[in-house]
Amino acid sequence: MNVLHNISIDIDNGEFVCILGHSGCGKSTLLRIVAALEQPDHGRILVDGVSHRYPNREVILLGQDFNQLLPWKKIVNNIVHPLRATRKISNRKAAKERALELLSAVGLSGYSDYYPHQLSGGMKQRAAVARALSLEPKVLLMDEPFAALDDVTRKQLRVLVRNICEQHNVTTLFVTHNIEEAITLGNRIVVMGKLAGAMRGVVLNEAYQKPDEKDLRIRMRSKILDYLENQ
Amino acid sequence: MKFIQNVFWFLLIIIFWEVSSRLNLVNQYLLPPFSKVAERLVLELFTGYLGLQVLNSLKLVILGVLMSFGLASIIALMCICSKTIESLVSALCTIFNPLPGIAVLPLLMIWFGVGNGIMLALIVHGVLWPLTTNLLVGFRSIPTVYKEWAKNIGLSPVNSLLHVQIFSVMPYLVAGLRVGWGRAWRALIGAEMVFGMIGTVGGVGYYIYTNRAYANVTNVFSGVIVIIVIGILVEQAFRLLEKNTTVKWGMSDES
Repeated sequence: MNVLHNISIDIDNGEFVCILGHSGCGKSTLLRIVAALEQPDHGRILVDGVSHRYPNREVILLGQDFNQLLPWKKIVNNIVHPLRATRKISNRKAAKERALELLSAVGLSGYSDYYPHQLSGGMKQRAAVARALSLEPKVLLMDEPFAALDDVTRKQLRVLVRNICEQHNVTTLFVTHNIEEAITLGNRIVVMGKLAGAMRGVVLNEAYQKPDEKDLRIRMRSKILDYLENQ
Repeated sequence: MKFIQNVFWFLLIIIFWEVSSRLNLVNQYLLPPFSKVAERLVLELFTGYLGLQVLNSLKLVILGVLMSFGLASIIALMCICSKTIESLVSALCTIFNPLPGIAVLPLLMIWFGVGNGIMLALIVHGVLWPLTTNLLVGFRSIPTVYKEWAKNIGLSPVNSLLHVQIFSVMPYLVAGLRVGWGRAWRALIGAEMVFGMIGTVGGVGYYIYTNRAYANVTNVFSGVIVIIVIGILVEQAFRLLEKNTTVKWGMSDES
């Protein structure tokens, strides 16, 4: 089955690119291929000009599943373990310091000694963001990480993620089916076709980081809708 | 709360037992009063023959469970590596899981004669199949997100197994050990009784059996109570283990 074809995009260092499309259009498959968790039949993924064929901590995928943290590790150790396992930071004390730093950056300072099941869905996703960023990946892939959250939490987390990704200067690919989310987050938006699993177009988001300019947002919205609906 | 309820009922049963025996509502020979049994139990346990036999049984069952644990782990690992082996093992589990150990005891006796080796074989048979079945199910039900996370950060398959998958299997491991221990303990006591007739291997079952032969009902009761107490203690140990692992991690409910 042909899930994806004719996908080609160059992403600059530190860009926040949203991939927007209907469900079933192959967005998630695309991210999994970028993470090297699936191999494409044709084509390749280049990170810093180097072919990315085996998964490693340079490209981290973060999904929408609330239960992606390891339940048997305290929140802090969920971050310490990958740091040490990947030899990013081998020293336990240093790794813990780094973990606590990131937990405080995502607003979870007081929760480092909790187990994941003791936290709410939104908090778990915050912790997952901290865990991913702690590894200082070159590319952060997010597959509808907030899709299962309530509206208020989702909006808070959007702001958090945009700010924190900017601070860490991490290149981000963010999959969503929500136009508002794409306009809020991405400086560019890749619009995918419904059936063919191909790119319809790349929209430069003029409303990026201008949440108050309603007209601009509406214009972007209609532009994206054009791409989405004209098959 | 549940503990207090249990103690309450235990005490009530013991009082009922004691009174009905003391008042001769039942034949005192057939049902000696609890106080007499308790007295004898302590005496036999610490100065008499019973203590020795309990140690004998426990030693065997602990050794057997450890052996099965090692064996089941090795089998489970082989199953992860090869689909063919997994299919073979799963067929073996289907055949041997429903087979009570005591049913193959006569066969084992014909093959191997009588001795501790047979007892171990019996215990391993009791633990191995339910434990292996559980481990296989456990490994099959590891959530993909955990495995993919391990893969994503570039953990080797061995590290993924050691740091991620084994923990994920914990609830199944504990459940398998629990079922297996119960089966093995029952089979062991039964086998000791069978061998009691031959009188070569000891154990609590043997102790109960010989005391029946001497018509020493008080001693028979002592043996039975020891078996009950050991069963309760082991159950508690499993609960404690669960409470500090899978329940604490939110992976299973308190049982």
